[in-house]
Amino acid sequence: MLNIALPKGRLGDKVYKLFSQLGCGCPELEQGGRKLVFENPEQGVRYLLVKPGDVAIYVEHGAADVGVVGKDVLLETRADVYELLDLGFGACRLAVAAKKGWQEDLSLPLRVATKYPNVAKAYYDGLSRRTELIKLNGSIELAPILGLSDVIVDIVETGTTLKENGLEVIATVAESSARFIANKASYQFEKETIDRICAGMRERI
Amino acid sequence: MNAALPKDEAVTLALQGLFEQSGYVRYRMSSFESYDYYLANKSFLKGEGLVTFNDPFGRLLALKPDVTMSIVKNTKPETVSQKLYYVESVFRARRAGGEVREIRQMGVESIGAIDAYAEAEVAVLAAKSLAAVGGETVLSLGDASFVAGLYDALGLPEPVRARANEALGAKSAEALRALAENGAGEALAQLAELCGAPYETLRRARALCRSAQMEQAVARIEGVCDTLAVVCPDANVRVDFSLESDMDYYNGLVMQGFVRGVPQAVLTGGRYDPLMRKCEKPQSAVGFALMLDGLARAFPKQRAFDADVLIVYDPAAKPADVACAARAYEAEGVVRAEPLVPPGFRAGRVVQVRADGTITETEGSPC
Repeated sequence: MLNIALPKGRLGDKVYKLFSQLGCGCPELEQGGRKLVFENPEQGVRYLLVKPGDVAIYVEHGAADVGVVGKDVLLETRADVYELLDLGFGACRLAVAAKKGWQEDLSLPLRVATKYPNVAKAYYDGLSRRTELIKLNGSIELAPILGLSDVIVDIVETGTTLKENGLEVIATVAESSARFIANKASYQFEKETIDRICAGMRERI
Repeated sequence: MNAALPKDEAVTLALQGLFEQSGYVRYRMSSFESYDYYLANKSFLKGEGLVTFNDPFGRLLALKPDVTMSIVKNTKPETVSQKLYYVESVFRARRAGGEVREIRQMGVESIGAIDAYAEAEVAVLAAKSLAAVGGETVLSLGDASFVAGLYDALGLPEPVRARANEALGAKSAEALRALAENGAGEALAQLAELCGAPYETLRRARALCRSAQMEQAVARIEGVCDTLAVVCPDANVRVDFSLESDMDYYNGLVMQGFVRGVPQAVLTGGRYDPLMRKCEKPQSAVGFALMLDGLARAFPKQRAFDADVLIVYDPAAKPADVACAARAYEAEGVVRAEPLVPPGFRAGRVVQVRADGTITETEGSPC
C-alpha cells in the first residue's frame, strides 16, 4: 500500500487528477465529504489529505511514502526527503515586498514579517543583514501598512494582492512550484512503484 | 534471539555477539568530554548542537555527541590495526527548538591500512547487522570519491559543489541539471539516477566514468558487492551513488541501511579518511553506526498476554513455595507472581498458590 499525502485545496485537486490519470484513482475521494483518509485497495493506494504546509512533514516521518508540496514549503521546513520531480504547476516566487517608495535604513535591524521565518533568516544571513523576524500566520501584507514591519517575505503569484495593498516586490528570494517528493526509506523499498509514478507524471506535465 | 526482550535490546545482544566473534573489541567512552575537541571539529556534527555544562572548576564540558570522533581522538598514530565496536548513547541538541535528544547507537570502526578486504569486511558486518534486525531490509552502497571524481572532471567550483551535494541528497535531477551547462549538467543529472540493482547500476556508472579515480571507485564497490553475494547471499543490496556522502567526512565507500517501518536510514557509515587527517592521524578508517531508537517502535512487542503464566498467591503462603511455583513454570515463558490479579491483566494461564503451598491451575485469562 502506497501512502500519498495530498495538500488540501486547489493544488491537491490538480495533483489528484494527475495520480488518477496514472491509474491510482480512488472513487471514494472523488465523492468528497469530510474524511481525511481514502483508500483504494485494488490499486494499492491510500490518500491522506493534509494541510499543504504539513505534507513534507508527513513524508519525512514516513507517515506518507510520497507527496506533492510547494518548493516554498520545502525551503521553509528543510524536510529531509527526495525531491524527485518539478511538476511545473503552482508556480510562484518567494519575494521581499515593501510599501511603495519605502527607503531602507541600514543603521537599524530590518523588521521582517513572514510566514517563512527560516527562509527569511537564511536569505538575510546570506546578505549579513541584521533582522528582527516577526512570524505571522496570514494577512502578511498588513504588516508594513500598519508599521508592524519594514518588509515582508511571502509568496507572490500574480502580484495583485500586493498592488491592491500598496506594496511592491523589491527582491526575489527563490522561485517555487509543486514538487513530487518521497520518503528516503520508502524509496528504497518502493523504488519501482515510485519511479513508475514519477515517469508517468513527467510525461503528463 | 531472546523473544522476551524488546527489539532494540535483542538486536544489541545479537550484534555484540557478532562483533566480538568477528574480532572486534568493545570500546567504552566517558559520558562527557572537553568541549574544545568538539568545537574544533563541529563541522562533522552536521549542524547539530552540543549539550554543554560546566564542571565544578568552571571548565566547559560536552555530553558526548559522537562516538567515532572519540575513537579517532584516542587512536595512537603508531597503531597498525584496531577493530572496535561500541554500544553508546550520544546527545545532540536540535538547532530548531534546541530540544535535546538522546540517540542510542552501536557500531564498528576498523582503523589501520584499510584495504579492499577491510572495507568489504565492514560491509559484511553491516549486512549481517541488518539481517539481525530482521524484517525487510535494504543495504545501499555508494562511493564519495566517485561523486567527487565527477565534480573534478566537470571542473565544478567549490560553491557549486555544495549545491550539487544538496541536490544529490534530494535526488533532484532537475536541480542538478541546472547547475552546469550542456553535457556537464546532464552528467550531474545522471548521477541522481544511478540507483538500483548492483551490477546493472555499476554498468551505468562505468559509462559515466571520466577519470581513473571514478573507475577505481566502481571497481571497489563491485568488489564489495561480490563479497556480499558470496557471504550474505540473502542481503538485499543496492548501489546508489546519490547516497548522501559528505565529502568532508567520507572519501570512499558510503553505506546506508534501511528497515521497512523505520522512516530514516537505521545504518550509516563509510570510509572516513578525511576525519582521520583532520585529527592528524595517519591511518585510514571505515565503520558504521546502527541507530537503535527506531527499532523498538518499528517492531512493537505484540503479545497476546501480559504474562504467559500468572501466579496468584495467598499472602499467607511461604515465599519459598511461591518461588518454587514460579520456577516450575519458567519453561512456559514470562511468569509473573502477584497476590491479587492486577486489573485488566491478560494471562495465558493462572496458577494459584494457597497458604499451605498447594497449587491449582486454571486455563485462560481471569479477566
